[in-house]
Amino acid sequence: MAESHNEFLSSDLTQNLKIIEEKMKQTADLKRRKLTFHGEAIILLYLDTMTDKESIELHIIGPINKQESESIENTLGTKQFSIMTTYKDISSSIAEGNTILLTENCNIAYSIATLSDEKRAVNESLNEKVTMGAHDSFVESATTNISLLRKRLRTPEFKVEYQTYGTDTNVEVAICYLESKVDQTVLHSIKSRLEKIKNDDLINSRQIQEALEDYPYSPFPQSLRTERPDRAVFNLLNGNTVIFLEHEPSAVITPISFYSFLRSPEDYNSRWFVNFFYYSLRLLAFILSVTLPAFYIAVNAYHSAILPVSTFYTLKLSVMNVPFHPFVEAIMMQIVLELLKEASVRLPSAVAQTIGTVGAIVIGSAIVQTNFISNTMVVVIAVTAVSSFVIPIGEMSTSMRLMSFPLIFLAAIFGFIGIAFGLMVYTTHLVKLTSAGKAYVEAPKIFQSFLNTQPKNGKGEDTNAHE
Amino acid sequence: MKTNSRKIIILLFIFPLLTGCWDQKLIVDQEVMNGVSLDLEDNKVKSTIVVLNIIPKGTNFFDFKNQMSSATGYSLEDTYRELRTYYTGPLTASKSRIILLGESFAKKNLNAYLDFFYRVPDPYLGSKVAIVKGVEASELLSTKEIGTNPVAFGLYEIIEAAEDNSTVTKGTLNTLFTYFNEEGKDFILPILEKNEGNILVSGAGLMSHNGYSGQMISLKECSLLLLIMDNYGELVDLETYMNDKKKLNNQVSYRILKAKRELDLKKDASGKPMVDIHLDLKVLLHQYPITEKISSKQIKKLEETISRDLTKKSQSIMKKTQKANSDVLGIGRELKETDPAAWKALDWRETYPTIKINTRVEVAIEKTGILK
Repeated sequence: MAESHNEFLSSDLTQNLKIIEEKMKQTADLKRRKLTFHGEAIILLYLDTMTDKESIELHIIGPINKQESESIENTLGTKQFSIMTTYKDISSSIAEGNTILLTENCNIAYSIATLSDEKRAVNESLNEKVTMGAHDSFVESATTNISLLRKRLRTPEFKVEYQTYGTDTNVEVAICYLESKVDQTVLHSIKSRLEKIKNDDLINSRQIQEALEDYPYSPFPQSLRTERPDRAVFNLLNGNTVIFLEHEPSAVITPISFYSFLRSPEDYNSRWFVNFFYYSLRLLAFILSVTLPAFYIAVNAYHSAILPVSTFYTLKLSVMNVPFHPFVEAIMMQIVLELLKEASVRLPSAVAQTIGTVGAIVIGSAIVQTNFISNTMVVVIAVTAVSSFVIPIGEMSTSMRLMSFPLIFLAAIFGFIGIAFGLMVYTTHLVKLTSAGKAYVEAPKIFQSFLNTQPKNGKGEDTNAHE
Repeated sequence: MKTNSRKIIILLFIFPLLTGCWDQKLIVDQEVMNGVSLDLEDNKVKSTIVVLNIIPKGTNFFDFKNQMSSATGYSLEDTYRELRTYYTGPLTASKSRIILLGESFAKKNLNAYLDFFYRVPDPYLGSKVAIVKGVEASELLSTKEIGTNPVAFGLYEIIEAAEDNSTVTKGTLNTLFTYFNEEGKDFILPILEKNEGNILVSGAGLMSHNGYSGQMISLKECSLLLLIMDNYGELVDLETYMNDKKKLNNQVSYRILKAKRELDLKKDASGKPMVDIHLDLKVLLHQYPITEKISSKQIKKLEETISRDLTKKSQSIMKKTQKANSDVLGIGRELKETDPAAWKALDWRETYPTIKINTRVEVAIEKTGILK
């Protein structure tokens, strides 16, 4: 009984203050401000570190001091507020950056939204650059991100749902979709999957992705994370769902198909044959980055009979004085490459350039001159790496590069048969994979996607022709 | 249950590792033979192989050396076993360019000997096969280089050029195999000769019964033979004396633009097969010693001269094939296809030299080059 009594605000201001401060664990950044309003004492409580002090001054303290109206509700009229009665609500409201207004002899409190929204300006995406097309990207605020989508999708069909997850983190998650396009069963399954993370501490998008994944042990990303609003909009129009996490500058798109990872928003912005060429190039890059090192090893160790004679002697010349098995060579070179890549990502950009030079000159040419790794192997691994970097989505690019390792191993033990076996396993896995219940790899609708379905204007009918 | 599956997984990993890489053939270790020559010596086979060793001399520079070795034995495998011991790595024929046959060896039933190259997948079926006349086949391989190419590559290219110039039919070890197993059709092989240190294709050797007949068609007649065989290369150039006098600059030469051959298999009164070959040529005149304008009358005359000359030549070529008992045209196969009963009744090896082969060549000059 005493417990339930303590839950609600009492009329005793000092008692209330004491309990709230206790609930907030007497944190040092909890500030209180004492004011008087028509002779009654008023206490403002807010977290110094999260609130917009200017807004408190302007919209709360100012009107109260001027005593513009009889009631507090009318005085706060310009500001959005809600009324609270329990300590629990009040303390979580403070934690969200609101200001609590308590009055003497009153058992209700006003919670006024004063969260300072300091956010990054909308900039160009660093990770998904394009030469043609929009140069805006998502920022660390879900509302800004949704506004970026709304700007492109001015339709009432565009629906946003908010959910709060994580018992400690209390992070807002926004699920956006086009009501008319989305598959209701898929949407339902996405929502029920998100329920699973209710009790976890949600911090980053990866956790959302994990909750959405059907096959957590698969090397392939089953939802696409993008920083580009145009990509998100394109997927929304295709009936997919876009999920934002507050404080994360990326959108998680699900369900997604494998081919979407090979697509760049630029594609839809260029002529069909340019589009076709680059899409094919990326498909080739995918095949190369997965199989090329394995293929080279298999040829080197088992199947040199398939080489034309001139190629054979070129190869023989380059591997002549290398003391290692091609498998060891490949692994060494792959590791060197990953090291260089990782080092240049971590370092500030000025130093990263140095790493590039060191990588190219020192390691690239010196390693060949010292006969540790053959010339051809350097070429093979470089081509593999470059083709994996062609893939527009970083997540997929990395998993592709890593997927070549098992094939390298199989090729070193079994030759071509090993590669065939490995590719069989990969293909089976890809075909079996689903993303939010939908097939990950479908028969590609290449021609439908390239051919513009818009009605053609005949030359004579073109109204612009007269101008 | 869990421990069982774990055991199985461990075994799956261990087995491939324990078996080792028994079939691994690293490029570095491989010794690749480029040329093979086969001779007959005191009723034994003498095989000679040449292995190209590349010697790196710093980046982008290298030198090569031919390592040649021979062995004799009663079979190819016999010699091969000995040859293997001369080299530092596993010996492979996967990059062999050329197989040279000594004249005496070529007269054996090649199918039975070359079988060695067909059974295992290792040897390169694109290698060229040629007969060496005059010297031992192994002697040709002892040349270090032809032009700037190592010997085996040089020989390969010489033969390839001869094929393009319509001296011999296009052929490799692979096509040879199909000929071996085809009744009623013989084939020709290039003949290599050494002339004052230079190696050249001197003609086409007529094969009979899967062996060299000893007869050859000379370089000048080869192109016509190929036209009759309807199996010519990219470039066919022929020439004819303008009149009977064989004097300086008295030849008209022409390039074949279009050739059409008709082979008509008939039966004579006694039921014996006889063949009419009709060759229709469209040519481009590319050498005519008199640089004045050629009138249409002259062209008519030229056409007649050339046609008469080629008809005569083709008759003699066909005589030669009959003498060598080498049915390079595949008349036997034609008969087998069109009249199996007659084919069965005949012993083709006996019949071919005796049948009547009529040839008729008709030439039409289509172009005279830039000059009229």
